This record gives sequence, structure tokens and C-alpha cells, in this order.
Amino acid sequence: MDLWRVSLSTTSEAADAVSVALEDIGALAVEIEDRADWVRKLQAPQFGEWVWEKDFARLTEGAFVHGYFEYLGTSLPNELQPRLQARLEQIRASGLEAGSLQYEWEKVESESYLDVWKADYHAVSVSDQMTIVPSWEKEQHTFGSDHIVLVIDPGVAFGTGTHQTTLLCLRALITQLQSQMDVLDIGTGTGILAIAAAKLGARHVVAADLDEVAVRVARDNVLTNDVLDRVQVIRSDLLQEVPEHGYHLITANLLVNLVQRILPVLYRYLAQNGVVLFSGIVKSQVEQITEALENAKLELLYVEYLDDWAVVCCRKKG
Amino acid sequence: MAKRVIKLVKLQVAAGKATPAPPIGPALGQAGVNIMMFCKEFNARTADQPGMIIPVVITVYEDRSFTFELKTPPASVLLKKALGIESGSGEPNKKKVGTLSRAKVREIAEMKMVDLNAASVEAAMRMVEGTARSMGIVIAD
Repeated sequence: MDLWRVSLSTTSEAADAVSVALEDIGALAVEIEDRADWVRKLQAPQFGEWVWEKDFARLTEGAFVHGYFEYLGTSLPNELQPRLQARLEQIRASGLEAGSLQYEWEKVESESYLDVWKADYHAVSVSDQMTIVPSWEKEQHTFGSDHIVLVIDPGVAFGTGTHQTTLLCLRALITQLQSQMDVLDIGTGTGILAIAAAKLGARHVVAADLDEVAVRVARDNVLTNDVLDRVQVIRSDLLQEVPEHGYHLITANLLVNLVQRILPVLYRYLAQNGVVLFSGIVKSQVEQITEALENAKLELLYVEYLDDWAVVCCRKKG
Repeated sequence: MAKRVIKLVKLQVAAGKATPAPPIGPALGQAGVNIMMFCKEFNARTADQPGMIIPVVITVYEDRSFTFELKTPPASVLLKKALGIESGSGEPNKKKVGTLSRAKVREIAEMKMVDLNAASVEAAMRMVEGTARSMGIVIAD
């Protein structure tokens, strides 16, 4: 989406008043750059980081508040002018030390922010038998014929392979997946886990996601990776549209609250001795899940960690 | 490994609902940050506070890695909540949207003190009051 960005110069004290004014005249979102945050960082670094004063020297008055508006043509800034002016007058009269409140408008094109980080995204090695490669790097790599290559374009769905939870799930899949298994992937995002399962020898994979964008991205990736005959991507709010079936392996790289929602009924979707991989779980949340397994008719196999994140591997009770 | 901070920015995002849309996309994407990774992290850590708008201060380092801290809701959100209103007044000088006691202002100021960039409760109160007035809220003694 292309945007209009208005950037106002103000003080730390008035930054909140300016941001609510922008929201009230229709800003989609507001971003604040505050000199006081920089100074705090400078005085009390948390992670051994350091700050150059020249990096925030441009915040001469104290803060910049940026408001983002949908780009509805060139005349939008003029149309919003009277309402913005009225609110700024009120801020000046409110008793706040508000600074100059000078502002300027600028167009922000979606390409300028959606694709910039591609430059930093490269092939990721999952294990000695699996690598994730972005499509624009496909030609640069050569792998042995039995090496599993996942071609994933991150787009706007989750699951680039660079995130710890994705890596944890992929590694757990490598150890848990046996050929001819039926697999369910809940919250598939880019489809990366479903595609990996198919390439590891699964017979059939159902990949579900609530987000239409993710469903589209996942289907593209399934096609790119040549596993269309084994992976079926469906739109589903968690398990709602998922066909009831005894899956041998279920992956659920979600968030802890979503995992808790599916836990009570998940066993109905599992074959005897079926395995479940839960991820998207922060270290401190692991207990919440492991404590709930008993009631969910599941037993814990192991928990694996990477940095702050965990994958919880369990099995349906016999 | 001292990492240089190249960007420090505060965004207000609905708990559990971060997406690559604004403000995250433009604010972080232009700094070269992996937007999706931020969204996943933010959503994971805020999943248990549905319905809240959470200010998040994001620190971006030279190598494009980042960290973030979650803050208490902005004063404007607390003000709206205290009055049960959706937005500030379109014409704050003419139309008033509500009246708030100074005691309530103090309460909000104290709640915000932990991460407000203000030196004292009085300074915080002046800020909350000013923000309230700019939204068309009348402060009564």
C-alpha cells in the first residue's frame, strides 16, 4: 500500500497529544521518534549497545511524530489541512510546551519498505540435509541430489526459516517424520513446514491458515517446490475447516494462546501414537503447555530450545 | 560486542495484531529490519493482552538486528478509556468531549510515570492535562 507520511517536529512532552490528533484525523498509524528515549539509551544501555549523539541530533526540538495515511491521491494533504491545523492550534493552547509543530508531507511507496530487507535475506542451513533458499538465489547454489532444498519467498506471510521457531520445527520434523505419514500443519504461513514434510516423504499434507494472504503465498510456494500432488492448502480458523482424520503428525507453530485453544480437541485429529509439534512458544510459556498435556490426552516426548524459543514435542496417549 | 543503535522508534500496535502494514512496515522496513520477524515476536509476547493498544519501543542496531520493549498504554488511550470515548474532539476548542477530575489526571500520570519521559509526577500531570485539553477534554478541580 502506498502511503502519505506527515512528519511533525514537536517536543517529548507534546508527542502523545500530537499522535492522538493524527489518529483522530484519520491516520492509520503513528510513529514517534523521541530524543528522551535516545538519551535514556545513552545513559543506561541494556545490551552493551552504544549510541552516537549525532544519530539523534536531528531531533532538535525533542521529537518527531509521523502519521501514516492511505495514499488517496495527491490532494489528500490539502484536504486534511484544516482539521490538522485546528488540532495543532488546540495543542498550542493546551498549556503543553509543544515546540514549532512544523510539518511536511511525503509519499511513501510500498516498495521502499516491503522489499528493502530482501537484501539481507539469504539461504539458511537447517541441517546437513536441508537448506532454505530464497527464489532469487536459487541459481547460485548447488546441492547433492538427496539434499532437501526448500525454495521459500517470504512475501507477507510468516515462515522465512530465519526465525527460531521455524528452525526448531523443521529440525523436529526431520527427526519425527517417517515416510508415508499423513501430516497436518496448522497456521502454515508461507507453507514452509508443510512443504518440508512433503519433501521428507509424507504421503499427504493438509496445510491450514486463517489468513487469505498466507493461503495464497503458501499455494505459490507449494507450486514452486513441486509438491502440489501431496500438499493441500486450505483456509481454516485453526481446526474449523480441517477434515477429521487420524493424522500421524501435526505441526502447530502458532502462539501460546492459540495452542491452548486447540489443545483440548487435538487428540481427535491424531492417529494412534500420533506426534504433535507445538511451537511459537516463548521459553517462559513452556510450562503452560506441558501442564495442559495430561488433560489433552497427550504425553510429552521432549522440549527443544533455540535462544528464547521452544518447540514442545508430544505424542497421543495409547 | 557493542552494537551501535541506528534507529530508536516508538510505535503503537494492537496486542497480538502486528502485521507488515503501517506503521511497522514503513518504520522498520526502511531501516532494513525483517518486519515479519518483529511481528511474530511482538504477537507472541502480547498474545495474552487482547484488545489493548501497546506502545513498543524498538531499537535497531547497525547489523539490522533489533530488540523491543513493551510500554504501558499511551496517556491518550487511558484518557479515552477513563471517559469511555472513541476519539478526541474534531473541534476541541468548540466541542468538548468530556470532563475529568484532577484526581483522575493524577492517577493516570502516576500510572504512566514508569515510562513517561517526565522528571516528576507534576511534570507528568502537566503532560496528561495538556494532552487531555488538546483532545477537547475539560479538567475540573
